[in-house]
Amino acid sequence: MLAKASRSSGKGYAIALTAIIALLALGPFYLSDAWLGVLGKAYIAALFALSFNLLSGQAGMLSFGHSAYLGVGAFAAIHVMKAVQAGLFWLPTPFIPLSGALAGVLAGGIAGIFACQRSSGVYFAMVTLAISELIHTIAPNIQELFGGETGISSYRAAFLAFNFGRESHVYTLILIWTVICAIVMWLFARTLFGRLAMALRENEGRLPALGFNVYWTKVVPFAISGMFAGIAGALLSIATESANYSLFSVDASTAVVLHTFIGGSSLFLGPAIGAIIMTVFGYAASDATRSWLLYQGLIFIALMLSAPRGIALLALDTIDDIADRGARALLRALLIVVAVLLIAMGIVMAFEIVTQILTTEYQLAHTQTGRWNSISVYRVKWDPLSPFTWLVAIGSVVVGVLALRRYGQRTGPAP
Amino acid sequence: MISTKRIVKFAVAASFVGLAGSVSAEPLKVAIIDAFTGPIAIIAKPFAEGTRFAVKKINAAGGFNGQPIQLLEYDNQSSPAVAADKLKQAIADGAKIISQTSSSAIGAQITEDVRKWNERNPGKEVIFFNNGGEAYDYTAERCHFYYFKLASNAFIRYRAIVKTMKERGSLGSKVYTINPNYSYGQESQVAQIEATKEAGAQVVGSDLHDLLKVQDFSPYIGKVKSSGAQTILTSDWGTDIILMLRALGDAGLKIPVGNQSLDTPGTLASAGTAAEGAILAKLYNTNIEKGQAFNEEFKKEYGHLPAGEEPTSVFAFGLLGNALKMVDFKGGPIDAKQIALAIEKASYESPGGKWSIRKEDHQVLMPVYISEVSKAARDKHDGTQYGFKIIKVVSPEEAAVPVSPKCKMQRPS
Amino acid sequence: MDWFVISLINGAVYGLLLFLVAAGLTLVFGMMGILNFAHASFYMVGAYAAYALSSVIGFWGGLLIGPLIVALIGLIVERYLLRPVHKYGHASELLVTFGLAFVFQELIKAVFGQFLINYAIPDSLRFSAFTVFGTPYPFYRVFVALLAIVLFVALIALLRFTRMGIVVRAAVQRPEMVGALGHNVSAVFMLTFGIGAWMAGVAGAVGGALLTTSPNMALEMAILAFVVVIVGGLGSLTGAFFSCLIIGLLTTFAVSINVSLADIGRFIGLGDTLAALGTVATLKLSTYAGAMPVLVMLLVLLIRPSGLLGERK
Repeated sequence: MLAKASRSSGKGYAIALTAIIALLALGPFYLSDAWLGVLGKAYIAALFALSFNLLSGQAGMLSFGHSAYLGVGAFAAIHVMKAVQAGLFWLPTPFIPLSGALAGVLAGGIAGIFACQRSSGVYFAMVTLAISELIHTIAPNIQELFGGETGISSYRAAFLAFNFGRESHVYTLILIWTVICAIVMWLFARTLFGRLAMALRENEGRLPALGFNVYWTKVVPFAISGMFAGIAGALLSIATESANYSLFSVDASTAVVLHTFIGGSSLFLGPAIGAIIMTVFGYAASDATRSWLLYQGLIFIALMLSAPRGIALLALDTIDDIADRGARALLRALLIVVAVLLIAMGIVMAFEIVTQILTTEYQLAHTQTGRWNSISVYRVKWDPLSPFTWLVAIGSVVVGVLALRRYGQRTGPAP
Repeated sequence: MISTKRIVKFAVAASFVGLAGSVSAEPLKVAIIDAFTGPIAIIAKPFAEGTRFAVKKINAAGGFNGQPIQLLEYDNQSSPAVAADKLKQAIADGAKIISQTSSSAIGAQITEDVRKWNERNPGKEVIFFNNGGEAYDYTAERCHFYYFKLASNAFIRYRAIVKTMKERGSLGSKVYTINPNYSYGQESQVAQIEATKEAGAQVVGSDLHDLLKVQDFSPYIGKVKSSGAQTILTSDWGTDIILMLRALGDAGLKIPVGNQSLDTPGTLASAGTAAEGAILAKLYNTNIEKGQAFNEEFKKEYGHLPAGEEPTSVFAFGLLGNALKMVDFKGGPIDAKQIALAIEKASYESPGGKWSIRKEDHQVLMPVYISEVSKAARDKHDGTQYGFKIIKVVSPEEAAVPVSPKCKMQRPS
Repeated sequence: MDWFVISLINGAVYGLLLFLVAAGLTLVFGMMGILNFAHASFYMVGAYAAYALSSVIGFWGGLLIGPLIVALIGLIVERYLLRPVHKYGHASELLVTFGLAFVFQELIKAVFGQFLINYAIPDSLRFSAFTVFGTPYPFYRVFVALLAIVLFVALIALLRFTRMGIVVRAAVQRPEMVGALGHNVSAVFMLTFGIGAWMAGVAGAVGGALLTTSPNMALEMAILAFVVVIVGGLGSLTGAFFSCLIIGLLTTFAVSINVSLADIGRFIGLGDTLAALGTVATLKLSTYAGAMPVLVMLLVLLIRPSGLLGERK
């Protein structure tokens, strides 16, 4: 972790982390199947983001087409699952991700050989994007490998006492693999290769002077990153019992970049936290409102403007602050949270009312009855013509902004 | 030894159960898991509108099992993985009937997941009522007892178009096919070639192009011109069909185009005069005499005549409504198996003909309307001077294509 | 043969339309190092703004005012959204533009609906410019091409012959130095961004009528714009111009190629082996036309990463 974090007890964080993982591991006892499914996807996204950050956070290489390795791992796994189903092969379900790892490391290695040729960051980003786009365009045409548009489906085979027909089995499998991979990646950062990767980001020019071959110092982390992305892809195939070429799309690649930087690239677990938060947010918000994509976009912008180093670091800073200065800092943090919530609620309310009014259904009802029907937001009916409605919406935003300005600034350096 | 205490406890418990049974009957929940946001939301929306309309009608007539039918809607974020999780949520929320329409990738995920859920959870089965997916493999490799296809497929549509054009004498002897390169386009290509050969004409060229990426169709039109084709069959939609028709118009080539998507809102307006004369295969046409009552009812509710895929959902859920009339759970728990068996036997009288389910592969048999884009149509479309004039209503029996040999449906005992 | 010439001209016209979109992107990237994901959104907003205005003040009014609105939006975006995150690094700027792309798309959908809208070529421009082997060629396409060429020349002239233009070109190469020399670099950035947005807006105003106008039109343009910028060389306007033409023509010609890999293989005796590889080898190359731009970009990156006319960095 960062030197800053060791100001407070590093051990404290480790204990907290273990407690959280234990709580999540007990998920099958208190979460519904649907939520187990969502969290499973969130862990997969977290693992994927961690693999991405191996390159971007440590080695400073932004891979724009990272979904290629996720997809390769997913398809390798689904084919192995089909082979197992047909009796041609034997690999117990818990070990299927190894096939994803193999496919991922190969794909990552090959891609790395091309992408690491020059030292420009833009070059690297564009080559990785091009590779991914190329696969995305060609994949649907190779029916045998990628199953066309409807993809390939298979079954999870039972293993020992676990029939993997139950969501809780799958959830636990994903959690175990994710935690193991995260620990391995964390240790990797401490190995020679990990340190070299960091050196790449800090001062690439010096490495040859120290006797290292810069090219291979880049390709190896790329291959390893591909390996973990492949494992994530394999876990996804296990979870959905299917693989589809849409995994290679630009959306999947950009999502992982977003998750990483929203969580924070400089903290090891930052990307994982960002991935889990955004996956859960998407799932919950997409049924709360049909404008959720708009809010997601606004959240990206707001976060980049206000927490550019990521949510995880922001949270850690706040915790450090509270640890140092006690109740006052806690109060301040709470006030900021409340202010942000007020702003968000006000904006959402205003948007929901306006977008509702603009829908064809509302316009139709208006032409038919002449009335401006009330609109339901937060389970309360609001009259769009009433000044009270707008007072509440705009007022929330104003109050929130004022509160932020008052309490948002640090009042002085920490002792 | 049975103690008095136990008897009293039992009696109290039994009376609660009895009360519960009569007071809270289980409502039938229908879950629509579709892309309500994102780029393909425009495809899902009309289906959802039609479904809401149909369910409202059933509820106005008393609902089912003593309760109104509840419609739950879930956004699948255009992702098969998310759709899988929303399905679990829908099942957890008590849905017994799942509806999805706008993407064959997601539909494949749902039909597989429904089949696996039913196998792994006997007694808690759910039905996948697919009122919009047009992919053929749903009723071929992927067919299963709890899946019902309330839509057509490329083979049905193009067989109907080609047969009708042949009867009219406008097919000619040379046909060119242009399709987008994805599963539906590829299936359409196969369907178009088959239908053309069946009608005794020759396919002089077949092209597949990237979906929604081609900006200039003139090379394709050039190929059509040099091949001497007298008809174009294409499953293009959205931007593709608009640009293709414009290129056709620009080249001054006056040959009929057979298609199945010109009635999507916005398409006819953007295609302009180049669309005149195009032949369309649809599952409903407002111009039919017997449809007036339905048209008026729909217009009152939504402010426009039923268009595009809205009628498909209305008739599909109308058929479900008729199936529901055949089962009676007397307010008790709903058994999807009984409903599925009833759907197999049910039928619905749509204005143009009967909708019914074929037992072997659960494909719906329904009339197909072949129409022509013409100024002579009564109902104008998209604010243009054109509408879809009915040329022929192909009967359900004539429109049907044979059961696929790949469908091996296992029936429950 | 006539369609060959027609598609040649069409390819060039499309390439020129693409240039209008890519010009701003390459200048902004060259100067500020920002890969603006929302740039294609300016194209979309331009089309919708022109459409909305044209019903009130006619097509020409829409063409005039619409892009100005887009330019204004561009200036606001640069000043209040991009400038604050500039110091945090390229990744943050990227993500802000990504969020912005989402926001624009959803706002357009909310206001104008999700379906295609009928933004049509005005009747006054619907006539043929000339005939090619007997087939009439629509004037509107010629109009689009001329507009793009005029703007290209004007922009080059602006950059080469005006004082401000020289400052802009210097800022593309060495922003810190320009600042050290006393110029207001922030203002230069903002201006460049605004001009780029304006040109994309013009592209939308004319392209939306030529092609189709829908909330998804930004997605369709985005990747192509990036490809063009890379192939042409980051920061090079002339490079972008030529790479647009190349890409435009290449995509058009790929469509006409009726052979597949297996066919080529048959020529050299490997036909059956290649055909046995399955679908990928037997599909005609015209089906892959959409992959052409990306393939070209990959080749350029591997062989000559600075692009056609870019600076070696």
